[in-house]
Amino acid sequence: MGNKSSLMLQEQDIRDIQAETGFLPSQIERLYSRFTSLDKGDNGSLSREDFLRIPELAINPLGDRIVHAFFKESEDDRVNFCQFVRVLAHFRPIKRTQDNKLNAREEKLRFAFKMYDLDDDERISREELLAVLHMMVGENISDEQLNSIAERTILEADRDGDQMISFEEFCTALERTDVEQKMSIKFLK
Amino acid sequence: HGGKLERYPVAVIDFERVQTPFIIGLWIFCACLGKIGFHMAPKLSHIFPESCMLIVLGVFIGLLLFYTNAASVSPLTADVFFLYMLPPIILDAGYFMPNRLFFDHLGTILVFAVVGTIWNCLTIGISMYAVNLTGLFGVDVPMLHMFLFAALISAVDPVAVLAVFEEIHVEEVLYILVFGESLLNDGVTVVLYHMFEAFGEIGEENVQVVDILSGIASFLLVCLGGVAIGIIWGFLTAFVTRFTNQVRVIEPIFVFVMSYLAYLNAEIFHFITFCGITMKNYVEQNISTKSHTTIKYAMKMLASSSETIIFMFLGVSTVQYHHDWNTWFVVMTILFCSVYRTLGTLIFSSICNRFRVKKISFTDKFVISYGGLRGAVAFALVLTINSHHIPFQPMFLTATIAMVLLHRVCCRWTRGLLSGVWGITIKPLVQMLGVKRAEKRTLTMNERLHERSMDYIMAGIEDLMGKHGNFMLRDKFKRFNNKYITPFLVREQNIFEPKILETYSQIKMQEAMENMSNS
Repeated sequence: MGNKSSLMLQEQDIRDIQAETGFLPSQIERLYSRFTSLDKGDNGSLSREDFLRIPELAINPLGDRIVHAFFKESEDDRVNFCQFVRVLAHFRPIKRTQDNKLNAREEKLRFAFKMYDLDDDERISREELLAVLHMMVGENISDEQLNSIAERTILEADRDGDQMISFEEFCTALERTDVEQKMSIKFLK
Repeated sequence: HGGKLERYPVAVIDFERVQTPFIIGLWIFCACLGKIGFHMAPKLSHIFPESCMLIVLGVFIGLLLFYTNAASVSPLTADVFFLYMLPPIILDAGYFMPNRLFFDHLGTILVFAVVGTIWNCLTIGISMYAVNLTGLFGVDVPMLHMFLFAALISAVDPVAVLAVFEEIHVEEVLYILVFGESLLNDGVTVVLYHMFEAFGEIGEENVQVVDILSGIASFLLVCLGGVAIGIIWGFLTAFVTRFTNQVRVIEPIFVFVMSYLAYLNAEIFHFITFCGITMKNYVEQNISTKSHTTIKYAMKMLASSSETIIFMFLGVSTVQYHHDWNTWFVVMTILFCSVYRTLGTLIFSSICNRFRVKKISFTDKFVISYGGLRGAVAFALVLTINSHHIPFQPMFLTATIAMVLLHRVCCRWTRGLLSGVWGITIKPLVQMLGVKRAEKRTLTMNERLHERSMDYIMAGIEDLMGKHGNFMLRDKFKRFNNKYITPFLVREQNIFEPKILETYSQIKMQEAMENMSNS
């Protein structure tokens, strides 16, 4: 936490972000210093290139989509600190005592759902599913096999027979999964 | 030849020649009969734990042998235990260990296994020695001998833990915490044991700081060396199975023999092993489904038989050895073991909770401290004590047996409590405790796929945060594995998410089976 970061982040901002996201002030400061270190151009916001400069993220099969999730909220091609923190707040662990709508189970699931739903129609189609499968499984597998896996997945979740998975169906399919734990990380204080 | 010419005999009695294998065979036969008989009497199995029955059966047989002087086969020696009885159980546990779960909670497991065992050993040793100074025991046990005893009694035993936890199906996280601990703390116990044994021989006055430092160094060597040996043999096994596609029948033998060799290799240096964990994934991709089934059942059978035999041996040995009953010593041992186990669990789990996403709840702590059962490992270790060097060995032995037997009885209680077999009276208690039970399940395609993508999301977020967390490490290992290890160890061409395909074919297989039985 250098001087620079605390200079640019006002007390008031911290309090606002804290109220919205539930992060502690120390966590916000830490996130801010990470934000500034990612911000190579020093203009207070991140571009796609700034994100993809992280080597592991660039080779993550879902890397593009994760980065894309950050840009959903902003109109232009930059992400400011508030937007940055708001997305990250989805991954805060859920505590029984303090409730925050950003890290609720449903929000976590929605984030995962959006990884598939590229065209934002609130439905996962077979093509969208196939695209993700392709990214994760790699080349050494036949299209036929991937196709049948995608079909099977839809068949399993689809309740209303439209050959797509809606968000509700997605949630039902993952009823038994411990999403609270699987999609949470400890943010350093 | 004189007057009497020996004609060809109609029958000869040559029992000596077959004595040892025959008696061993009888052992196993008796143990299995006992087991069947036990399960045929439903009322009995509600009152007694199975292991209790086996011990009682063992005591009977022991008495029989003792009074008839029939056989000279010495019951349970430490070598028999460590070389033949323990490996199947450890292998079974390691091979079917849920890897993912294990590594997710590795930090907590290590804290419990390493720090927790050292804590148990030191606190029990110090307290017992303090009581000893007051003269309550009526004998004067030297400090280092007391620590030796503390070292062997402080280990949680995988055999005992498995026997109980398999049956009650507690929630998987809870299961892996206690079970992982019991598997890993063997190393710590054995090192502590050998250290105090050696210190005892050097003599209290002559132990220097250097010796303690070498003790610590040897501890690190044992643990890391054991892991390394396990990993190397595991990879070797996987590599060998790459070439067995022409001779399917020897696939199971490779898995068994090579993991046994790994175990022996590790035992030469008193090492522990990690073999099963590392080979499983690769071996499973190489071998045929039939071989896989064979491995699975053979492993289960070996493990459960040797568990059965161990408990019976415990009973026989109870009769066959010299005892020295010291009431206060036994009472204090049991008291300190329970108190420090509970205290340690409370302290270490609250430390771990600071770093965990999913906290260890109060009921979890209760089950963990309760699940710390002592068993055959402590018993085998107390048998290896040389009573010439340590004159109080009979007293230690008696206390250990008392402790193990008491734990058997407690097992029953816990088991009854958690599984609710004691009927309506217990149910409110279970609900009050709120112990979560595991649901046996095969993943659906949706679960497998979306959980994988969640892993990628989390790895991405951790990279973004610049945080070296679990997801990121796993992601890194996976990439390394896919690039360098898998192509080397697996015959089939390399795909990135074998689990997704596996789940798919599993589901398809199940459906096909159902169709078959329906039509």
